[in-house]
Amino acid sequence: MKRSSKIIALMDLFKTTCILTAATIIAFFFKNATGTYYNVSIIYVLAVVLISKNTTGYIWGIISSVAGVLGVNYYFTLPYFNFDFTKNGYPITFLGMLLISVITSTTTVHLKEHAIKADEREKRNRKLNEINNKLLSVNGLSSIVELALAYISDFARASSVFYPDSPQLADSGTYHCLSNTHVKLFKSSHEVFIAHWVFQNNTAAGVQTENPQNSSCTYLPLTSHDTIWGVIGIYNPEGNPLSEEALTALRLIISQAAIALERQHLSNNQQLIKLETEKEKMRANLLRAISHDLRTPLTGMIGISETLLKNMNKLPPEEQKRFLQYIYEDSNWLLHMVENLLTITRIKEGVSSVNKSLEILEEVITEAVRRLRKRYPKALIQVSIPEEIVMVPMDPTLIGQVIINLVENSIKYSGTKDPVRVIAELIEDTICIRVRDNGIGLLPSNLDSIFDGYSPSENKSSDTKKGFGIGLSICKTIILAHNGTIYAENNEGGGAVFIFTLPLERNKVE
Amino acid sequence: MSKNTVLIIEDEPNICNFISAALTASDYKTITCQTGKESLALIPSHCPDVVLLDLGLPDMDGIEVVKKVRSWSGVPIIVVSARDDEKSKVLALDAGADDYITKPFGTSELKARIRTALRHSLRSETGKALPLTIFKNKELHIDFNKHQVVVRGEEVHLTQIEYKLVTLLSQNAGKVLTYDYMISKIWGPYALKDNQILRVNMANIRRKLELNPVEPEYILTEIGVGYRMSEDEV
Repeated sequence: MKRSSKIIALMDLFKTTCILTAATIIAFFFKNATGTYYNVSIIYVLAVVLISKNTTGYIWGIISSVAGVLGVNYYFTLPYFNFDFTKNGYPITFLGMLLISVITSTTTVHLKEHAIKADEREKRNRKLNEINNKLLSVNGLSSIVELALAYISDFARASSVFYPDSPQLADSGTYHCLSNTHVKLFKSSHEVFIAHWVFQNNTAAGVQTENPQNSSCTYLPLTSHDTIWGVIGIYNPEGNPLSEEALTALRLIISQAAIALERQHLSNNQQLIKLETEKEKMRANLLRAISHDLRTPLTGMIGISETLLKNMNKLPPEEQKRFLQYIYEDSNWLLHMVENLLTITRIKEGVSSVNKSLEILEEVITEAVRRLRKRYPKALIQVSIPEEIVMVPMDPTLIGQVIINLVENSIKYSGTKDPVRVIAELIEDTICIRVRDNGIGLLPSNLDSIFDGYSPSENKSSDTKKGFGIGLSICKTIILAHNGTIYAENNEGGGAVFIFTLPLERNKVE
Repeated sequence: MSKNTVLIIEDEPNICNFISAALTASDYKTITCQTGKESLALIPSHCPDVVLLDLGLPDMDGIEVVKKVRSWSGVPIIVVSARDDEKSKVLALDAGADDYITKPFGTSELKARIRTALRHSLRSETGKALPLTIFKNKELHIDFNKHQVVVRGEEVHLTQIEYKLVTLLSQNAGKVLTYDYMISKIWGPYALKDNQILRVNMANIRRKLELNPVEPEYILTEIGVGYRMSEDEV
């Protein structure tokens, strides 16, 4: 700083000397040309104005005023080349000139200062506008906080911290500090106590507020609609108090941040409510489907066993055996239903949270096929897996259940004894599994609603105990919980195909 | 010929009855009890040949029973568990149980497991716990001396680790081996318990040995638990 002010001073000296000299020369020419010297003073006044405008501070203007007066007296008033202030009227002229020079120079200096201030103010307003816009458009609580803290630290050249809740209750502050010691300062028990106080009282505290409380930092609450969304703490390491303007700007940023936070909270709440309602809907659908699908086999079992009990003696052995066979089959069907339901309970609270582990895809498929064969020993199932060994993050029981449900569907409803094919393919970062049959296919109108748990009223009667019911809607729930997709299509060559995909978090294993 | 005795530890009377009936019909002698405590008294006094233990007992943790019994007896223990409960199964196996069966089960499956358990205990009792020199199962032939594995008439090239795994499984044919057990046997007791390397090796072995890796005849996967080598039902 010192060096540049020396340079500035030298430049100003240079400018002053040049302009004064130029003025003198012009005045000489003028006097010789016109023979009068009235305008000499004016030329010097002009020189003074120019000097004040183009130099820093009052001093050069004043020096040139005095020099001007002296110059006019010395060079241009009788007796020439002599200082004489006593001639009639000259004192007033000279005083007048001095006054004009001083006023002019001070005015130009003021003007310059004003211009600089206005410029700064405009820059600050533009910055605030930019902050405003950014805060309004940013999404996510942490982004809003990060942005606000960055701007505040920038503006106030300070370290800052954001507490969403009182730091005495939880360690959840976000820090934006110039050094680690500042973080320690914020975390010190006294500062934490003050931050807590601000939460309780919804009033600013600390340096430069009405409640200094012996703090070295300033804490400002972010409020909107009478709710406190957080507290921002600011520590100014240089210790200079912030100017009134900086404080105003700070308060503006903070109120904007509060609004942005409130808006984000509201939007998050809305999302949660939407999820809850979806879950409730799903649960209601499920319960409805469950009660229908469980009652049917039970009705069969109760009826048949009652018949057997009452009519044992009257029934021939083959008949008895047949009834027992029905009971056996129905109970297995019931077991299958219960297993489906158990899988639902494995999906925890949120619709999108599932216990995933890295499983080898072909092992899961093998297990599913093994269970299917136990239940349907005569069914033909063909499987094709990718060449490479693929590990997929998934819950193996759930995905196994999906494969079982889909293949069973095809076995029962395709209306043909042709083999059901299970094809697993690795496509970039996704695993794609298709269950395809060669049967009657699906009604195009059913393609979307088929996963929603309603039995179709067309092909089979809706009272079929083996109705679509829960199976497919459970598949959808499971796949969605794995962040995958599931849909159904009709094959070009006839028959239906059910497709689901699972994202890989890693690619294949070498 | 004296019959083999099975001790059934199960608190649900219906299930207890049907198992007992099925086993009696297959020429086993059965003893039943409802609690873990009772079983700990019955095993030493009656010396059953096989113990069938339900993991969902009311008074004691099934795993505890396994540990206590194992501290003084090598009697084959088959644990009965619910389908979803992989953890209990693995814990029981690691605590010393020999095999597991999942509810609900059919009687043929149960009988097969019991036969396997008896076969293994017989082998160890008669000192045939010495490593076998040859393993034969359908079309799979392993010669442990020559380190040779032949499947469907053709020799298969296995890596060092793959060979060790196949050997381990075949010397325990019919028994389920947990992931952890296999890892500690092949990679040592201090190996990381992350089983991915094991899984990948097993998948490679399957591809080399099986005609159709998705419908294996020899290397059976017990999802969530471990692996089992099938055996010739001699």
